Formats: sequence, C-alpha cells, structure tokens
Amino acid sequence: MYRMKWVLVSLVLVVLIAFPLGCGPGEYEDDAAPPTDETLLDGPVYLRKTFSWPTQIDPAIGSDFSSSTAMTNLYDTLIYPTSDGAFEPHLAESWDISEDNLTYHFYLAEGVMFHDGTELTAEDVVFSFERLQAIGEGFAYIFKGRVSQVIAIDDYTVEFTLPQPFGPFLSTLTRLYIVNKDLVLANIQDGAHGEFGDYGTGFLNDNDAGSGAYKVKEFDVATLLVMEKFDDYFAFIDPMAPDIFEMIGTTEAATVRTSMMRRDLEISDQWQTLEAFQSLDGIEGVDIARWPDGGQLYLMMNTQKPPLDCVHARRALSYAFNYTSLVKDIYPGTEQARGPVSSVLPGWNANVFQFNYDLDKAQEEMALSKYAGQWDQYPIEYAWTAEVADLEKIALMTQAESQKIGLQVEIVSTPWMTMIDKAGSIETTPHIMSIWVAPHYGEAGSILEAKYHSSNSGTWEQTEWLLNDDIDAMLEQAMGTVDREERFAIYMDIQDMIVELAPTIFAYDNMERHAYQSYYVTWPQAANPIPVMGYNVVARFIQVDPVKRAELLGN
Amino acid sequence: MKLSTFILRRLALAVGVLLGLSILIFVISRVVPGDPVRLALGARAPQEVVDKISAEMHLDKSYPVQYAMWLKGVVQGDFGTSLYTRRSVSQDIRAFLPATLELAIYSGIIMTFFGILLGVLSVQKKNSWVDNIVRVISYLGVVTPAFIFAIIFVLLFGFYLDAFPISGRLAPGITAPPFITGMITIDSLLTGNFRAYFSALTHLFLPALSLAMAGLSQQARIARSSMSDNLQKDYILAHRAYGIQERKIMFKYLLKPSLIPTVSILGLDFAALLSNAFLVELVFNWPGISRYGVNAILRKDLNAVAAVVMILGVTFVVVNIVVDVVVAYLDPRIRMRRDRSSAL
Amino acid sequence: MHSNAPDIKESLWEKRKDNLSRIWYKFSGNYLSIVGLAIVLIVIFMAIFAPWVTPYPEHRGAFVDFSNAMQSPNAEHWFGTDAVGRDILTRVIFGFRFSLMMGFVVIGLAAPPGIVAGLVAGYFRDTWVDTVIMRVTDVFLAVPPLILAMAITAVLPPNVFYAMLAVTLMWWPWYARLVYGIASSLQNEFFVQAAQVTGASKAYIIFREILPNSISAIFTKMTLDVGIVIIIAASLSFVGLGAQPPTPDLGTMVSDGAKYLPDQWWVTICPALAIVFIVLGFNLLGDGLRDMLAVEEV
Repeated sequence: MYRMKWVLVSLVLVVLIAFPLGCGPGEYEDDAAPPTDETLLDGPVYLRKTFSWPTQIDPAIGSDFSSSTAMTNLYDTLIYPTSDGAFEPHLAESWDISEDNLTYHFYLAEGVMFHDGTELTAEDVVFSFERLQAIGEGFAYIFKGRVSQVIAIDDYTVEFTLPQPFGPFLSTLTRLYIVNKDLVLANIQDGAHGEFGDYGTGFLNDNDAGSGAYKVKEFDVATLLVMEKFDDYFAFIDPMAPDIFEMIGTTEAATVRTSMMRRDLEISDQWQTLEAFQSLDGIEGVDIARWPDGGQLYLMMNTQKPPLDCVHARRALSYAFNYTSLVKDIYPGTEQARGPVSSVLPGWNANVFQFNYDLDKAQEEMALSKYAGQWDQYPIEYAWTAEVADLEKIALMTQAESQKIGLQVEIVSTPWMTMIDKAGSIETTPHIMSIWVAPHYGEAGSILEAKYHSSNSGTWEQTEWLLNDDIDAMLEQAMGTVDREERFAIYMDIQDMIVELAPTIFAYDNMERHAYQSYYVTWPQAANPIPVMGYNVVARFIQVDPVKRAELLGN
Repeated sequence: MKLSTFILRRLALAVGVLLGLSILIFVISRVVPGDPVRLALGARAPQEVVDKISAEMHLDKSYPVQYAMWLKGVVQGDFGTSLYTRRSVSQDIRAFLPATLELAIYSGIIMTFFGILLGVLSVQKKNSWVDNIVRVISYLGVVTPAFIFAIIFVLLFGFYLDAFPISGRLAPGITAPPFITGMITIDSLLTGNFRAYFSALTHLFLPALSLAMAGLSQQARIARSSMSDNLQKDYILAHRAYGIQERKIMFKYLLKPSLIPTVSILGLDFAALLSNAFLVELVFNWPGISRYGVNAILRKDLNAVAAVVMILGVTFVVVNIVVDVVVAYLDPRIRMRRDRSSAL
Repeated sequence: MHSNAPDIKESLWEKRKDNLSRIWYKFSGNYLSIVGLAIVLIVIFMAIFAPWVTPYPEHRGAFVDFSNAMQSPNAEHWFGTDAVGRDILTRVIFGFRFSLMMGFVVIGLAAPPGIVAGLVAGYFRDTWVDTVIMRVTDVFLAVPPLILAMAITAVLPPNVFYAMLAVTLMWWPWYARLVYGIASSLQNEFFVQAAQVTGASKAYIIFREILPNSISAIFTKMTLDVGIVIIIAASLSFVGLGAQPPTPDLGTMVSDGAKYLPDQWWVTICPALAIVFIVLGFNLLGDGLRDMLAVEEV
C-alpha cells in the first residue's frame, strides 16, 4: 500500500521532470525540424533579425538604428532614398519648387491607406510635421528652424514654406514619417502639450499609426517587435516578402549562433564580435553581407571637460590611437577614416588632414598643452557600449596606448540606454564615448550637421559639445546653398575646420556587416545599400524562401 | 506555544520586516544624484514640462510625504514608470515574474526530489563507490556557483551534445498558450497544448538544473547525514529485529523524521534560488524578473529596481513563513527552540 | 627547600605544544582537510607573490597584443590568451588577489560588529537591548542577500569599493545570529553563573567568558564564509558590478568569455575552474575545522 503511493508519486514526478530527459533530444529537434515538409511550409513566412535594444517606434522619438529600421517598415515618407544617394517619389508622386526655393508643393498619391483603413491625406502630413517639432526629440533637429510652416492646400497637396533656402531639404524628408492624425488624436493622454495632451506618445510607444508595408502585430517593448504584412500597402511588396518581420532585442552571441544554426534567425545584428562572425560564416548556407554604410566609428571627446578642453590634448589622443591595429586586427577589411565624413558619402573631402599613429607626435602635442606635467590629476573616462563586445577591444587598446604617453584612461562598460542618457548634459557626458553614427540622407551634410551643429548637442550622435558658432554658421550657410557643387565646397571647408579642432578621433569608415541565411534569403540592399540608416532592412524587398529553408532543415 | 500564536507572530514580524525593507529601498532610491524626471524626459524637454511632471510625481514634497505616497502606490501595485520600457513597471513585472517563479518552482522540484533521492541512495550504499561519487558530486555542487554550472551546461548540452535548447522559454514557431498564470508549463497543460508543454520543459531543464545544483547538493548531504544519524537510533534496530524489509524501513520509518532538517533548509535554499536566478537568467536569456532587475540596475532604472527588490523581498518572506510554519508543525521542538532564540 | 612545583612557564609551553600537536593530529587525520589547507595556502601564496610568480605580469594592466589574441592553451600560455592577447593564467592569478581581498575584507569588516552585536544581545537576553538588536538583524536577514547587495550597488557607481560595502552590509547579521545563539545557550552554564556570583562585570563576562567559547564556531564560520563571499563577489562581477577593466577579476573574466563559447572555450572555462578551485579549498578547510573543533552550530 505504502509502496503504491510512492510508486505513484515517483511516476508523476518522473513524467513531469524526467520525461524531457528521455525525449529531450528527439523532442527538441522535432520543434526545430518537423517531420514532414508540409508542416514546415504551413504557416506564415518569417523574417527574423536581432537588434540592439531598446527600439522606439514613435517617429517623433526614435532615432537610432533599430528605431529607424522599425519606423521605415511601419511608416512612409514623402520621398524614398536610392542607393546612389539620390531619391525618388514615394508618398509624394511629384513636387514643384518655387523659383526662390522657399516654397515646395508636394502632390500626394491618392488612395494610400493607413493600417486602420483610413486614407492618408495632406492633413496627416501637416500633423506629423507639427507633432515632430512640438515633441522635439528624435529627428526633429533636422528640420528645426528650417521650415516656417506646413499647410494642406487640399486633400492631396501639401505646401512647405521655408524661411530661407535649405539645400538638402528634399533628401531630409527621409526622416519625416507620416502618422495617422485621427488615430493619434483619438488616443492622446494627459500631457504637456495643452489640447494635444501627450501628443500620443503614450499610445505610439507600443502601437503604430502608420501606412507602411508592415504593421505592429505584437510589441513587447523590452524584447521583441513583431510586425505583419499590410496587404493594402500602396507601393511595392515583393511577392516573396515575409508575412511576419520580427525584430528581436538581443545580441547574445550564443543565442544568435544557435538560432542561425537551427534556421530560426534569418539575419543577425551587426554588433557581433569578429570571432562570432567567423563562426557564423562557417555555418552552411550562411554568408556575411557587408557594405559601407556611410557612417564611421567615432571616439567622441567632450570638448568642455578638462583635460580634453585643450585642443593639444585632443590632438595627442588622435596621434596616440593605433589606427593600423584597428583596421588590421579588430576590424579587418576596413579603412582608417579620413576626416569626419565617410569616403563613400558625396561631399567628402579627400584631402583633409589625417592623423596617424605616432606616439612621438602625440607627446609633442602634450608638451604644448596647458595641462602639461599635470596629467595624473586629470583621469579620462572612456565609455563604450556594453552590448558591443568588440568596442571593449578598442577601449583596452586606447587605454594601453594612452598609458604609454602618460595619460590615464579609465574604461567603463555602459549599456546603450545609459549611453544615451549620459549624453544628455555636459557634466554627465564622459570624456570619450565610442559610438557609430550613420547618415540620415545621402550627403556629407547629414553627418556634419548631426555631429557638429549645436542644435543637436546632447544626443548620442554628438557628445562633443563643440558649440562652435563659426561651424554653426558655416553649416547653416551650406544648408542654405541650393547648388550642389557650391554646397559641397562649403562642406569641404567645414571638414578642414573640424579636423583642425580635433574634437573627435575618426576611427574607421564603418562596414555594416550581418550574417544572413543566403541560401534561402535574398537581400537586395546587401548588394546595393542605401546610404541612409535604417533603410536597408526593409522587409518588403527581402525574399524569404520557405521551400529552401525546409531543404536545409531536412538534411 | 499554540500553532496559531506562532503563525500570528511570524506574520507580524514579516510585516515589520517588509516595512523596514521598503524604507530602506526608498531611502536608497532617493539618494541618487540627478533629476529623475529630466532623465526620463530627455535633455531637450522644455523646463515647464519637467516642472509639471515633477509636481505630478510629488517630488517637491518632503521625503516622508513622498515615502507615504510611494508606499500607497506600491500597496496598490503601482510602481511608477520604467525608464527603459517607458511603460508602467507593474506591467513589466506581470510579464516577467511568472517566468522566474516557474524557473524557481521547477528548480525546487529538481533540487528536493533528486537531492533526497541521492541522499537515500548514498545512505543505502554507504561507503560504497556510489556513495563516494554522490558525495563528490554534492561537494562540487556546493562550491561551484550557479553561473558556472550554467556555462558548463551551455557548453556541454547546448553545443557539444546539442541536446537541450540554451535560450528562451519556447522554441520559435511554437505559439505560447494564453496567459493564465504566466507559467508556460501550467498554462499549456491547462489548455491542452502538449507541444508547447514539452517545448517549455526542455527549455526549462538546463536553467533549472543549473540553479538547482547547489540546493541539490545541500539536500543530498543533509539527507544523507540526518538519515545516517537516525539509522543508529534504537527504533530502527527494533524494526529490523521485527523483520520488516529494509526498503520499508528506509522510506517509511527513516525518511520522514529525517526530512525535518531538509524542510528547514528549504527556506534558505529557496532564498538562494531567488538570489541566483539572475545569473542563470542572464546566461540562458531567460525573460525573468531577476534579469529585468539586473538590467534595471545597470541602466539605473530606479522605479524598476525598487519594484523588483520589493517583489522578491515579499516572495522570500512569504516562502519563509510557509516553511517555518510547516517545520513548526512537523516538529514542536523547533517551535520551542524558536521561542528561545527570539526574545519577544 | 627546593620546590617540587614545575617551572610554570616551561610547562605552559609544553602544554601548548602538546595541544597543537594534538590538534594537528586530529586535523591531519582527515586528508581532505589537508588538501583544503594546501589549496588555500597555494592560492594565498600565489596571490601575494603574483608579480613574481606569473609568466606575464604586465598583462594584468593596460596591455593589448592582437597578434597573440585567442590562442588556445599551449606551452607559452598554459591557459591560452584572451580576445586582446593577454595571458589568461597570469590574469587568473591576479584575479585571486581580488577574490581574496574581497573575501578577507568583507569578513573582516562584517564579523566584528556582528560578533559584538550578538554578544551584547545574547548577554542582555529578554531585555529591550536584545529585542532591538535581533529585530534589526531580522530585517537584514529577511532579504535575499544578493538582492540587497544589488539594490545598493544600483544607486552607487559600479565599482569594487561599493560592491564590497554592499556585501559587508548584508553579512554582519549572520555573525550576530550565530554569536547570539551561542551566548544565550551559554547563559545557563555554570561558569557564567559562577562569574556573576563572584561579582564580575558584564563586560568581563561577555569578553572573557563567553567570547572565548564562541571562538571555534566563529573561526570556522569565517573560513567557510570566505568561500561564499568569493562566490558572491564573482556573481556580482559576472553581472558587471565588479572591478573595472583592465583589473583582472575572475567573475568578469567568466562573463566576458562566455560569448566566445564554444570555439574559444578556454577564455571562460579557465577562470571558472579557478573560482571552483579557490572555493573548494576554503570549503574543505572549513569543513575540516568544523569536524576538528566539534562545532555544531555552524
């Protein structure tokens, strides 16, 4: 009797616990590779990619890589960038510009539907712009002071009036994402914008009000964004585009690797270590896509914080950086940056001065500094993004080299969220922050403005706090120049000036790289990338072949 | 003393402890330099907005008032907003707590069941090679931190043997069952979704085992030593003299009394489980509340940190009370010993 | 007349020697304890003489050598090299320094106040002193210690000093509890009552009668605790709350290396085994002490 009880208890426990031990391997493999082809080919086609997190999908707030990617899939813009740095019509079928370059009329395509079934009209464009400016975060700085008013002439015509000519204006429209005015207004909560309340920031934090090829299906803000295809999309969706696009918020090496092996991840993030990419490359059916994204890795120096408020100290660090080792050992296949602008961006100054790794010159600069001889009283704090392990290598390298010239550098691993926070004020910004910045539109001005105009100081793109009136003035002059050649000439001058001031160590021209399942995923942008951040993982152009995926799993 | 008095005193003590903890947390979270509102709104938000939100959050009032308002919120389940996810912390907790509880429970089962089993095995074959192996394993289990087990298991079972999944709670492509308790194993059983159940079990296995190793080893050692002590007792000799089978003696007459120290250790071991959960959650990418707490700490998301500490503290206190009551019920001597050691 | 009383000094010395050899005899009977003692001594020795014992002492600081990165264990680098080319064996040995320091400092800081609190509370049993002290320890003991430590490190800058502070803060109550238990049980012993009857002051009784009788338990607990504190320190570092690079720290090394599994397994496995090694040593030693000193309360 007693034994029966024990036998029973043991059996129950065995079923609960030990059963998976026995069926473990078999059962597990079953989940990854169902026995019949039919089961595999049933169900939606997924495109899954890992990203560094957090992702902010509100077009007035998001600004980093994962956020731009999400917004580009969920929303539409008036124009769409092309791979040669130009742009083509998108929501706006055509436009005309007044003689004095101060008035733009955009003629919208008719019948463009939002995800909730209502039509996109000029009203929505006006609302989106005003909302962006009112909230003032994200990409608002690109338009600040550049547009005096936006009005809807009729349902399909929008008029932008500029206070002065703004050269790259049309291409900056890649960052004005159009939101559904009625939907947002129906969902405002209490907030700081008077009758507009919180302007919908609460609602748009985890919902979308867009017209894009994909809409939000499920958004667990901390880990996962699931988007599903919007069948009534007005523009092109590849017939083999995925039904579901998942953005997964992790860059854990083990997770990425095992997921790719089990074909549960189509594209990896770009933040894996060199060693990880080498292993991923070794997986059958997986290749590494790489292209110059028009951005760079910058070691941004807080020019307001001693001892880096002295230009000689900054030049010394610029000379002490081991560029050779960087492009040979840490990021093989890349090139040292020349100036603040990547060599693939139109408007790049090929003749700007370039620092080289020279410890003697570094020490000469240090001797000229007002802090000469007192370096030990001024430790330098270097923050690197914790989620990207290879940045630690650069941090350690910088620390080692600096020690050789007598500078004390302390390196601090900082989560990305905290990096963004710390950039917010002069006091909290560390001496050096290592961050990649990519352009928002296809010319040098995008980077120069993002990085060196004072209106964008205090963001993750610009932690130098240069606050230089001359550079501001030159940038504004360039922006006001409508003629491309003339504009570029001013860009060249600005690059010279900036390198003189050495507010940043220009590490290398970034090669965006991703591991992806080349056997069953066709990714056009990998071969022809668009030089605007977030426009290369656009699900509607990416083909995912479930039959080929089943083949790989069947083996 | 009466059991009911004992329970009441423990509860009173628990409330006092939790109040003390809440004060500690509150003090800690207010000590941080910097303006939490500005941190949440960003450097470029206009000053009027910052002031307005500060007033709403009562940050202009005195500390005791702030504490009272915060406590009121906590009791109602409102922990404020997370800096990172920008949504209410209680939503985050609701999403993540069940995952950790599931892990802890599963770990607890493994730890208790296999720990005792190993202890029994050890005692049955005392001083044989089986006994020695168990003793070595249990010793290693005590000296190796959970995260090292986690890494070894990842290497061994995840990569070399490819037998178990090493991240997440469910295989991708399997739809999770509807959120009833939040624990996938229970929810899938309740809704009859066996594929999800087995997937969840295989995903649970390695993290739960890593967490359980320390407790398992402890249980094995304690079970072994307490059983071998009791083996010497006269009543066992009497049973043997009567001719009762060895197995019956082992399980019926020996195990139950020997379990008392096991149960009292359970409380401590559960604490260890909760504490070490974050290490294992990090390695296995397990979306639990401990991992959430760790990330909140690294990002200085103070509302979230305070909430996690309070929740874990409450859980811990509740479990301890339950364990204490069970133990006191099982062994009146302990009730009295506790009497001696707490002078109230 | 020549006194027959033995020379007191000499016989005391003889007695001490006798005692020590008896203790050693008992201790060495258990060979596991010897192993533990050996491990602890080796680790301490290596930690103290690290700059001279390690093959590449400069690798503990700001040093990179990418041409030698990620070498698997070989003749020049017994534990291989890490992602930036530093010798892992060297860094592990320097890591011992950090772990030992954490262990000794935390226990050294936490034990005295804990012991004093326990003694006082134990002696003044059943008075308000007792109640207050034990309630306070209850609050600290009610929270899972690691969580409290993490909460504290949440608001302070993540570095060694604050991590140690946090761990110390939640460690002292255990000693208070332990000593309180011993003190209150000794209350009723004859020698305490005898002391009271002869008019000894409370302080005398606490420090000269009760304390010496608690020493074995305290000492055993301290030894065992070093192992536990090392694990806690490694856990905190694993999460990112430990020493900042380039200072070698076993927990950080395990955490950093985990992302290179399984190909470059040595980067994480070697420091992990080192942690197990050092904790094993202290545990074996502590267990041996406990058996030898016949301590039950720990």
